[in-house]
Order: sequence, then structure tokens, then C-alpha cells
Amino acid sequence: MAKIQFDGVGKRYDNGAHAVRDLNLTIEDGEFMVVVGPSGCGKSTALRMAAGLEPITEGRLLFDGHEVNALSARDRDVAMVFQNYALYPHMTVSENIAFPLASRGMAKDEIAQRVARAAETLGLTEYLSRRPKALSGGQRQRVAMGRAIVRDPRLFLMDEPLSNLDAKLRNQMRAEIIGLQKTQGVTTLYVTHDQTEAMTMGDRIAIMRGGVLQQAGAPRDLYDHPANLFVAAFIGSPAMNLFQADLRFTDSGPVLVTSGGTLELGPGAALPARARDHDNRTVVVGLRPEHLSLGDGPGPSLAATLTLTEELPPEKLLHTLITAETPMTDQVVAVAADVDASAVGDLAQDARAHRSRLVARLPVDTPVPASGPLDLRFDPARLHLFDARDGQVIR
Amino acid sequence: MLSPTAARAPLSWAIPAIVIMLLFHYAAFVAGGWYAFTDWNGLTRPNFVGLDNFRRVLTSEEARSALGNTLFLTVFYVTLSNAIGLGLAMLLNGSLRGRNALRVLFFAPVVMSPLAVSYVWKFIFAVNGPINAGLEGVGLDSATRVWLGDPDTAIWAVLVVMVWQFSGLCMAFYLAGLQGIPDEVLEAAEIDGASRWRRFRKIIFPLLAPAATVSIALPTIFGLRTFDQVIALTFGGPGYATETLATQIFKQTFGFGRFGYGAAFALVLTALVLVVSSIQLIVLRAREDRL
Amino acid sequence: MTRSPFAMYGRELGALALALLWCVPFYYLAIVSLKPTTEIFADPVGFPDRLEFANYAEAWAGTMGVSLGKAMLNSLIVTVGSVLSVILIGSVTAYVIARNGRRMGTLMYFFFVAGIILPHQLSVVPLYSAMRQIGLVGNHLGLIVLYSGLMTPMSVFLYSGFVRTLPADYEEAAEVDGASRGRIFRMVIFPLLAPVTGTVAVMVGMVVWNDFFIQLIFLSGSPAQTLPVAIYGFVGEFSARWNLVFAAVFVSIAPILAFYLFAQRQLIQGFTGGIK
Repeated sequence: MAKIQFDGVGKRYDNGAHAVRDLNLTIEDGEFMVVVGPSGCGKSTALRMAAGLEPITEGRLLFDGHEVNALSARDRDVAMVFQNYALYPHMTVSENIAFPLASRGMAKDEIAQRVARAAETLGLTEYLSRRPKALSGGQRQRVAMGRAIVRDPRLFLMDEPLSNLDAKLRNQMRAEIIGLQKTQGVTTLYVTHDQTEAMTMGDRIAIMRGGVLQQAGAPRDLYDHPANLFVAAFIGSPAMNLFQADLRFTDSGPVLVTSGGTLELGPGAALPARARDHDNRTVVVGLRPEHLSLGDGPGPSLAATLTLTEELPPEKLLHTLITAETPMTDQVVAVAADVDASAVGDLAQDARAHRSRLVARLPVDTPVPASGPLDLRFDPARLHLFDARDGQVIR
Repeated sequence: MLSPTAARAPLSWAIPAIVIMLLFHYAAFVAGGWYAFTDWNGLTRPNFVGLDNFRRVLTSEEARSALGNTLFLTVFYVTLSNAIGLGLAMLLNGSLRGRNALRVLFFAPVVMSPLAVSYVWKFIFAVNGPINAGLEGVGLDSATRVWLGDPDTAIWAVLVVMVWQFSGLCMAFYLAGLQGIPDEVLEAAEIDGASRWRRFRKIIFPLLAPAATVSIALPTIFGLRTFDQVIALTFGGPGYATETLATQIFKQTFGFGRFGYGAAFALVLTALVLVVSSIQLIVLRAREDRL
Repeated sequence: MTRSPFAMYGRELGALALALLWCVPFYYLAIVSLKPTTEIFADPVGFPDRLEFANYAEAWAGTMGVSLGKAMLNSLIVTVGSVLSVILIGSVTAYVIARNGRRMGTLMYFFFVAGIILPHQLSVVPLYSAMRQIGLVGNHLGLIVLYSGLMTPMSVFLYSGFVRTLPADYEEAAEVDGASRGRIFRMVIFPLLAPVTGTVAVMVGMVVWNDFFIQLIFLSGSPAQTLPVAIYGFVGEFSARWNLVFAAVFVSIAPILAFYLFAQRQLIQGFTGGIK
């Protein structure tokens, strides 16, 4: 077990392109760190650099304060679970699990003991003499885990280990991996592109985009205080609602001016301290779906048109449109592009129509009309404001 | 820093193989090429004789027959084994009863020693062997011949043996090619109203291009190197009627100790193989690329 | 597909006719070796009156002091030795080629594969004289060395096609698992190559077992002579006694034919593996 430090670590290819740029990240001893981001964000490269499978071209990687840049994978004492498991197809389950021990020259009877214990932990005992081909997807996943937990490595590395499983099994394995990691107490670096996985599994999450670390912190911290539009758009499902507005400070308090009208936030509205610096500037407004409500309460409301209701007890999702510019900053587009090219197309269509999509998450028994206009109320204290030019949060 | 992928398979591991290649292929090739310009007899010091050996290769009777026979055998062998192989493949690709047994039968000669196969045929072609006996049996006494001793028929006998032995290989290549053609393509063509001949001509045949490449290129090399069959059946005779480049290389070098002259033959054979194979590969690959 | 019964029959009759024609040499291979000497040319076409198994006993003794059994053993030694050595060289080399970058890999690939096209008739002359000087003519080792050299391009070619499709994950997993380079190759890569190893073994084994040209040059008149050379010598000595010749020929063909019948599917697949 060890404390892992990325100290200005970078990966630069011969053609000058950076896969990872100036990564500074510390994983504490025993911590479960999830690195998340869209495909091509550099998360896998970072993981492979930690494993020793990819040479580090810039900066230093430290295990317990000692630089390991020059150590090969076999000398780093790490264990890794691969996306497609990389189980040796010609070996039985028990030979697969025993391989890392045998490679290190451990005595036969101790290997047998440890394999038996690992198999017991993972419920693989009755499959020990099978070949990987004869196992189900979930069993293969467990064998891959077994190969990692059978010894006490300094670091667990997991490269999207659940992405080849179906949804139900994924949920189950998620819990199992967390449990295993807690009992073993091994420092873990876990890479995924699934933000739900990241939110549920990580002690802390590091979000990457284009080879650059965007923000690292506890899941709740990232959810409540995204540092920029990318993190805001990436974390949360359904995603944070975003629209563009001009921020103005008037005598009757701050207002947001959208193409659809003026939104009075009220004189007492608790905006971020630096909001004043953005007086008369365009900002991107962010609102979580659960922070929108119906009915006559206090606080400002948005005039929206309901287009679709999705019931998903215990809650329901209202899909609405408001008249406000859709932000088309590269950070927002990048998140949409990770979903699908068609999502980018939808975004562009909204931008051309000067409208934004808003999703509200309400209790399932909230009475809602089938369609038509409705007012979405919110608490100004829940607003996230981002600088429209660079996408950074306004604090 | 070397990438770990390459570090796991260091170039130094390939050194034995590189040395082997340099010795057994490149150095030997150059040395052999050098002998072709000498009068070496395998024992005394070789003297450089310029193009003398090649002059003889171009003018001597044994050389001209060897070259002519080699080309004759190659052309007919490649053509016939491909025609028969393709026919067999078409025949055995469908739902024919016993097709697996037939495939096994037609391919069986491929795995056998050409020398041993040739001896079996030598008996069949013998003066008082089965063919002549059969002809006499049906009253065709006049058609009997000394098949292997007659300059007009000996080379054909060699050809028959080669075609018999290796048509099955072409069949296997074409069968593999046929199995790669999706049923839907043929069904679509049938629905489109294409006749059976048209389906073969316009769809199956073009799609067999990759199979044809191997089926033509490999027998070409076999044909140009024809040796075993000739040695077993006729030993190059009668006269020079069935000599090939390979038999001449063997006889000149190891029979008569004319290492230089034999090497000149070998160089001609090499040039022939390189030129023919290159042209073939360019033409055949271009055909594949149009797929 | 609807077809007239005539067309169906035509196809089957055609296939049957060709099959019968193809069987003719097999028929003679089977019967001539069992005929008494007097009957061979008296009735070349028919079945033997009585089966003369003594032909086999006589043929087995061979010629020039090398029995067919000894020759078969020699062939086996040379074939197995060559196959093992070619598998070792080919698998390691193809692995190096596949894992050493595009430019280096391509360069090395052509360096090796060019050897497939070059006919060995030219190289054999200098190789013969060089190997004679260091005592590698007339024995098993010489032939094993020679075949290893000559067959290396083909095995590198066959292995390369496969190694390139092998994902690096297995090696990476093994390296993270702490295996050394040698152990990765031995325990992970080589077993994964098993399908090609089978193909290489069959192809090289068949070429070596059946090859005549090189064995004639290198082993003529030596006690290490292999089956083709022994058969050649045998025919030279007993050319008039076809029953003995056929017994010897049958003995030389039988092992490979048995192997073929036993593993025909894999064997044919080995030949045609490259065709899509």
C-alpha cells in the first residue's frame, strides 16, 4: 500500500501531441480514486503511466515519495484489472490467479493457499479448474479481480473493469469492488467514463478532459461546486440545466436578462461574491434539475413550455423548453459529443432556435398538466454562474 | 525511452534468425550468383570466366530443352490444375452427397511425397503396364506407346502426374474462397434473376480473386522448380526431352561437378521465378483490389 | 433452388467419374505391392491371385545397409528436429517483428519474407560446399540446420500474420503480474500462438518429410539417408521388381497418409488459412 503522487506528469508523443499534460494529483494511502472523463481525455494514459505500461515523458510519479518513473511494470508491484480482463485463455482460473504469484517465485503451497483464499472471497471456488472461455462475463470479471487481490500490491489499477457487463451485473459488481477495496485497504486508481460509476465508487474523483485535470475532489464536492462548465455538465444525471443570460445589478437587485425576458432574482438574492465583477456581462446559468419546482412559492420563476413527462417512480422528469440562448462553449459541446454526435446536433438546433432545454426533477405524485406552459420556480441561492468566455465558475 | 511493447520483445531476440537469413539466404544467394561467373568444379580454386556459363546456357541443347520444358510444364500445370481445381470446388461446394469423402480423396495426393507418387505413375505408364494393357484389352493395340520413352509423350506423362497430384490443392484454395462468399450475395443475385452461368461469371468468379492469387502463384513456383517427378519418371530423357532447369542444376553440379555451370542454371531459374512471380503478384493483387 | 433431376444426376455422375479416375493410382498403390513377381506384368490391371506379404519383408530390408525402418527413423529425426527448431526461431522472430514499431517491423518483415520467393536451388550449391567443409553433409544435424535456415522465412511469415492480431493486453497483464520477458513469451505469448504453431508444424513437417532435392544432395549414400533417398536408391537397385518398389513406396507414404486421414480437416485448413 502506498501514497501515489503525480507530480507534473505529462505524456507527449513524438509528433508533439500531449495525451496528458501537467497532471498533479495525489492519491492517499488506501484511498479509492476514480479518474473520469470522456473518451480520449487521457485517463487511460494516466492509468497506464501509473502501471508502467506507458513511459512517462514529463514530470515525476512517486510511490510513497520515491520516484518510480524508471521502474518497469513488473517492478512497480501494482496489480491491474483490464477492460477486457486479459485473462490468459490457455490457463485455468486457478492458473490465471496463481500467475502473478508464480511469476514472483512464491512457493507452491503458499500459492495454493492464497489462490484458494482469493477464490473463496470472490465465490470462484467451484470454477477453479475451468478455462476463461467456459465462464460468464461476471465470472471472468471476478477472475480478473482475483488476479489482482491474490497478492498485496501497493496499488490497484482498474481500467473500466465494468464496461463489458450488463447494467444489473454492473451495479452488483460495483458494490463488490468497493467492499473488496475497503477490506483490503489497497490504494486504488480506477478509470471510467461513466460518471455514475465515479460518483458511487470513488472516495474522490478526478475529472479529466483533453489530457488536463479539470477538478479533483469528493463526489459531493464536485456535484455541489463544479469548478467549470465541463465538470458541471459532465457530473450529474440528468445533467445540470444550462442557459445563457446577461447579469445585471439593478436597484431592485440582480437580474438575469435572457432573450425571453428579464428574470428578477430579488434584492436579497445570495449570489457568489465575485458576481459583481460580471455586471453587464454574459454568464452561463446552471441549475440542477432537482432545484426546480412548481407552484407558488417564494423566489423567481422561469416561463417554460412542457414538452414531455417521464415518470420514473419515486420521481418524474419534466422536459421543458425556455426562451434563452443555449451555451455553445467548447466545454459544453465536448460533454455532448461524448454522448453522441447527434447530441451535438440537438444542441446546435436549440442554439439556432434561441431556446434552451430545461429538465425538472419532481416527486412522482406532483400534479402536472399534460403539456403547455408552466412556471419553474427556483431558489437563487442554488444558481451556479459561469463566466461565458472561459467557462470558469464565478465564486 | 523504448516503449514497453518493444522492450518486451528486444531486437536482440531476432539476432539468431537474422544471422540465419544472412547466411542461408542472402550470403548463399550472392555466393551462388558469384559461382555462375566461374568455372568452379567444387574442388579446385574457381576462376572467373565472365559470361561463358551464360553463353552456354543460351546455346546448349540441354539448356534450351530444360528452359522450354520448364516453361511448358509450368504453363500447362498451372492452367490445368486451376481449371480442374476450380471445377472440383464448384462441384463439391454444393449439397452433393459424399462431398466430404470426395474432398478428402482429391486432396490426399497433395500430402504425399512427389517422388513416391511418381513411382506409382511410372508403373502405370510402363510399356507392359496398366495403360497399354488396358488399350490392348479393348482392341486399341495401335494406340499403345512407350509413354515414358517417347519424346512426344514423356513430357505429357510428367504433366499428368503433376496435375493429378496438385489439382486438389487448387480445389482446397477455391473451396475456401467459395465458403467466404456470403449466401445472401448469391441469393440476392438469384432474386435479381441472374442465370446460373451469369452468377458464376459475374459474382462468384470475381469474388474468388484472393483464392485465385494463391492458386496461381504457388503452382507457378512449384512448376518452375519441377524436379522430383522428372527424376523418378524419366530422369530427363529420352535425350533431353524432359529435362528441366532444376534437373539440370542437379546434374551439372552434383553429377558432373560443373558447379559454375550449374549455378548459372540456378541463376536463370531464380531470375525466372522472381520475374514471373512479381508480374503475377502485381496483376493478381490488382484484380483483388478491385473487389 | 429447383433443378431437374437430370442436372442433379449429371453432377453426381461427373463427380463419381472424376473420383474413380483419381482413385486409379491409389488402386495400384494398394495392389501391386502384394502381387507375386510373376503376375505383375502378366496381369498389370487385375487384382492379385494371392497376397504376397513377403514383398514387404523383402522391401523392409532396404538397400545399401539402410533398412526402410532406419530410413523412416532418419526422416522422423530430421523432420521433428527441423520442425522444432523452425517453430522456435519463427515464433520468437515474428514476435519481435510485430512488437517493434511500424518502420522497423516492416523492414524486418520484408528482410525475412523475401526468402520465401528466392528458390533455394541457387543457394544450395554454396551451402553444400560450405557445410561439407564443416562436416554437416551426410548427417541429421546438417539437414536440420539447413532446413531451419531454409524454412525460417515461411515460419516468420505464418507467425507474423497471427502475432499482429494478438492484442498487447495479455503481455501487459503478464508484465504487471511481475513476469519477466522470457516468462511472458514462454507462458503467455507462445501458448497463445498454438494455432499457428500447428500450421507451421504441419507445413514445415510436410515439406521436410517429402522433400527430395536437398536430401538427395546432402544424404546420398550416407547411413543417415531419409525415406525419399532410400526409396530412390531402392528403385535404382530393384527397378524391375515393381512389387518390392511398391512395398517400399507404400511404406514411405503410409505414415503421412495415415496422419492426413486422421487430421484432414485441420491439415487442409492449415493450407488454406490465408484465404478469406
